[in-house]
Amino acid sequence: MSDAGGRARLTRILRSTLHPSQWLEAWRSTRPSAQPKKPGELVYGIDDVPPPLFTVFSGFQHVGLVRIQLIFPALVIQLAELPTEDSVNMLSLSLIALGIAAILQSLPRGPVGSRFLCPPCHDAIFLEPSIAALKFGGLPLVFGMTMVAGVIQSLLSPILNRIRPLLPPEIGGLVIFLVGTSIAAIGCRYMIGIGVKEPVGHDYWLVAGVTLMTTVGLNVWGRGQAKLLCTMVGISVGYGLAVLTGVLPKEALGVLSELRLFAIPHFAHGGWAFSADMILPFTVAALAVTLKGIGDITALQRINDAGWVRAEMGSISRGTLANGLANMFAGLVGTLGLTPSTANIGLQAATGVSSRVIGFAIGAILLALAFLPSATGSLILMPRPVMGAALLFSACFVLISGLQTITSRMLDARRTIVIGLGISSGVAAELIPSFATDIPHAIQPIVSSSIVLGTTTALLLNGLFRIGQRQRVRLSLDPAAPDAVAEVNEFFDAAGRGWGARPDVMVRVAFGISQAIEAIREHCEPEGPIVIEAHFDEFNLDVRISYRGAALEFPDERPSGREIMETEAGYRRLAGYMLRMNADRIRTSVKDGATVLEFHFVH
Amino acid sequence: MKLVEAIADEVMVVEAYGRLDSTTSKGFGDRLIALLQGGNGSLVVDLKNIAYISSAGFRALLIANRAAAGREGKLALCGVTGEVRRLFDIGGFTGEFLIFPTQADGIGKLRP
Repeated sequence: MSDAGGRARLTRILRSTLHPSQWLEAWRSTRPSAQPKKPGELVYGIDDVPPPLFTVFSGFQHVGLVRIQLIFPALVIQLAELPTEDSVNMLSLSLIALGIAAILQSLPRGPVGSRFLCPPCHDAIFLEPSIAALKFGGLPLVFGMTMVAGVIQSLLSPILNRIRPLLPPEIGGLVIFLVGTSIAAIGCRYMIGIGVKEPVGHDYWLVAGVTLMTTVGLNVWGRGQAKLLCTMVGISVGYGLAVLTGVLPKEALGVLSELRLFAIPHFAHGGWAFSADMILPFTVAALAVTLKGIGDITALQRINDAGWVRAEMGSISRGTLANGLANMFAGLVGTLGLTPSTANIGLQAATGVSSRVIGFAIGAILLALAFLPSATGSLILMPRPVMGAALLFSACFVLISGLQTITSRMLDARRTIVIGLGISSGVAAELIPSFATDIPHAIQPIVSSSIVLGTTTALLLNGLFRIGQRQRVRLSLDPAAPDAVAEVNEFFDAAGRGWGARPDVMVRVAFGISQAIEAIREHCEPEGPIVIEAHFDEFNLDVRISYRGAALEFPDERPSGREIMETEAGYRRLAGYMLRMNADRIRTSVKDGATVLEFHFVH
Repeated sequence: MKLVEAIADEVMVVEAYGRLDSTTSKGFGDRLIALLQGGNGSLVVDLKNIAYISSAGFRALLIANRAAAGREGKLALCGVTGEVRRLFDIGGFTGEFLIFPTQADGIGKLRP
């Protein structure tokens, strides 16, 4: 593409991004075309209203997972060396931002929110860029750049449909997988006791083991409430054992008594700062959060709809906007960026409880906790082995969710390399942190974070590999060749992998084209080659077959069994009927003496 | 296409492997008719290893089904899952055949 062409395209994209009609269009695409069907394994589906007490308990269970992830701002707070009172206040501000985000995502109507139980959390994505910003310009730069990330996300939300080829689902799965590995790595370190100031002993590992086994045992073999609230029960058992064994020292508990029971959080902080050097890492973080959000909300759609076939972009756009606004708010009040909590989505899959009402309970509990410094302070006291076990348990579901999203698409060599090198570079950043020290200062924030580096690698390679990637493919077939149908199958298998198409759609395409070629050979006396052309654009797959010979008919009604068995017309019409039923749209015409069959498949 | 034939509990069972298309369906259908005429008129056909079935395959099954009924026997299908199940559904054939989840279910139903 020429520079002028590129500029024109960029201008078009920017104009369309900023044009109000784009936002309205994204916001109006509110529901999937078919009504979601509640899966049998869900105890409480999205529109169900559980009993009040159960709602509150479920809310606390989700808040337990969200609160664990407050270790990420707590880590930045430690590095910023804030006084205790300011530390607790910053965590309270985090709780307010989290509470508002939880409510925004659960709103049942309007332009903002995914409309799912989609609790937010702090996670590993914003951690490394925030630490870099802290070193470079202190907390004001962290807050300012968090707002910038929120603005970027909000601007991306209405054009996600258009830029979807640049953000394919398998890279979203990669981000979720890297978040899972990051959570698992932290969980393992905490469970083993790596990085703990004082040497750990058997009691420490006992607490870690009992917490994990309690949670896993209840989840696998538990029934009823015990299964549903397994994480909370596991954490409680771990807490109790930590007190009994002295892993949580009594003097540590004394810190709680010094904190006030009730206090109104204050919003006074050192202001906001912005830096061009930090735009790149925070832009990548915003993209990673958006990709992860696409995967998360897609996972929620799958959990809540037994008939799920494809991502519904309206809810993804609104969910991305809600997250972007929440990040702008988080930066404004003075805390780190937020993302949808994959661990909480894993909890919904594990427990079969995904009622949207619980989202409001979570929001209310988080907002209430923001006014209770002693409760927030107890989070800082949560024993590391308990934290580690809970993180490791939720990481299991996050990792598998990421892998499922990656493998939901057909992957050719290019896409395999994109994912393989993305994972490799992410894991390298986690395992070999020293390799970041010798590289230019400006890109250190990217290279030192496994999630940011893995995402950047995959996005750049995906963009690079799109060069020369044909979205339109063509095959000329000799109808007399005995292996013509096998050739069609190989052709569409290779094309599907190159496009990263959904396997289920490609199976339908392969059947349709094989059946069409069979019918043309048997009933249409074709002269010369049969030409097959296919075009793919992520949302549509169109196949056009042209040949010189008699036309096929595509009846609305299937011929009777007797007609199929006893007449050639009935047998021929059965082929046409099956082709009609297999494709989403079908059309036949005659052009320049050739019969043209056009099949449309929604992707 | 490959057919594996066996007798279980006095019921003839045919396991089909491969693709049921315009090239293979004629031989497949002829073999089913021969087995129906040679035996007691009942047959279980296991389709779990069939990857593809076109209109030609359905025609062969319909003809075999009619032949079984003509001898007061039964044709039972099993292993109709995944893509093959989808094709039975879109062709409207699910209600036209006796379909069982497993071979054992089909044999149990057809046992004399």
